[in-house]
Amino acid sequence: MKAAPALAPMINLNRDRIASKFKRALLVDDDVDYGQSISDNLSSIGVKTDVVGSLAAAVEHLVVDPYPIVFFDNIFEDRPELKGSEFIRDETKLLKNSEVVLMTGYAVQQIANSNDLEKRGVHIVRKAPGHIEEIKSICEKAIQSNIDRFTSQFEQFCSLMLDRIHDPSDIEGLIPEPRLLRRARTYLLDYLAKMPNPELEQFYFEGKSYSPRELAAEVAAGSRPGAILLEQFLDDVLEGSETAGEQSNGYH
Amino acid sequence: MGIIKRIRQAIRKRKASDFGALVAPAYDPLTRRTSTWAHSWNLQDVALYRRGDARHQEALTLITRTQSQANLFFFVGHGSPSGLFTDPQIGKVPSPISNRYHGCLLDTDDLVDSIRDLHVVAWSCDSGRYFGQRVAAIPGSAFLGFNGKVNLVFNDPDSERLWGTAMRLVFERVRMNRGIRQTDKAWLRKFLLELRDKIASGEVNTGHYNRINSMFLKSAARRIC
Repeated sequence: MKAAPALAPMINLNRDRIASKFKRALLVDDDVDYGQSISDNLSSIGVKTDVVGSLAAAVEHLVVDPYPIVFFDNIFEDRPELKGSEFIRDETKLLKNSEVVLMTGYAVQQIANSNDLEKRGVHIVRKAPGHIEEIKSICEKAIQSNIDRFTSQFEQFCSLMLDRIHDPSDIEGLIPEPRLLRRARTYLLDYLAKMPNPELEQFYFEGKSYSPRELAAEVAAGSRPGAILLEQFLDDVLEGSETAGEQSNGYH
Repeated sequence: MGIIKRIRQAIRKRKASDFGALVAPAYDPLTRRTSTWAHSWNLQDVALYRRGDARHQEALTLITRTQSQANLFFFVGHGSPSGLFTDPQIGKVPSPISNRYHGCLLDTDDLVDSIRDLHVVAWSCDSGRYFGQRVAAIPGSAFLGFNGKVNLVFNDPDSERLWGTAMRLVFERVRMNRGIRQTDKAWLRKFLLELRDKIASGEVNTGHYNRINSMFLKSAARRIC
């Protein structure tokens, strides 16, 4: 089967850039000095570490941008009733794409057994002399495994694309139909341009206030909020009502 | 402050010890509007804390108080996955959630073990993601809010009426039921989608804003938790 030649130059994986994406870690520990020391040690192997002092702050970081590696202390002095091990046990969704390391000064096996952590692939490290080397080794393995997995998935994807795309109908339904998207975008821009108060802040959208003109600029620029608005717009006009018995209120 | 205003405020706060509280901070264009809406609702037996009253210490007192029935805490404003926001000048310091634009009204560290029977309804972005889960884990407690961004239209009278009414009816329902019921999430989702249908049928008319209100109602309905 002949490969589509136009795709070939696009399939060029920048391995250094990919590696840098995976060389990030989040450390959750209320001991600032200890956090700094781990951060310094990890920077020697090229890992950029963000340090936060509480589980609540960790959530703030993890929902915005998941980290490939997350280290947790087990006990926090200001909230002794909420342990790192319990957080790891309960927040599987938040940590599903991360390599998780629990650091503790106490009985490692007991903590692992009580929360089934080892079964779920959580590394448990005892804060004892030499544990920094163990942490570094876990990080290096996690980074390599992430890069390998990503590369393998990417290559599978490329080979599938090169083998399969001879006819546009092969990828029908995978991406929005460009003509529909263009039409929706034009309609949305036109709709926003006709707002009665173009300069007045009127929309609270995805965490920020916008005037109609500002929101139109986001759509025109194809920025993240603009893309979300366009997606919601398409969703609204194509699906119509979500309640039973109603017909689609498509745009014209 | 005049003596009558002070007495009124004292009466409102005394009521709060018996019933519920609505906290509506006002410190940016959106919250200044939502705070005004909250003021116009006049929820019976619910004390209103807005502007300078929407401070961390006040909120902490409200959620930790013990009552003979469920402790109702309503909030309208900005939120984050691990808490609720107020004016940065009167927020809790330090807090992991505060930043230069928002101060911390409450974060998960404030959910101490002594709290019981706390029912929180938060019309705010994201707070259902972790803060809401922590509230719901407290014995006898429940949370109704959103686990994503909540979009809305303001500075347009018809749209403000639409969103303000939606918020008021949610708070009103929980107040009348004296707490959040298991069916309230489904009810709220259905209610927001019905409002959207009313826009489509012309029963509710926000003029040129119909389309965007319809989009925002649908996204809000999907993010209820």
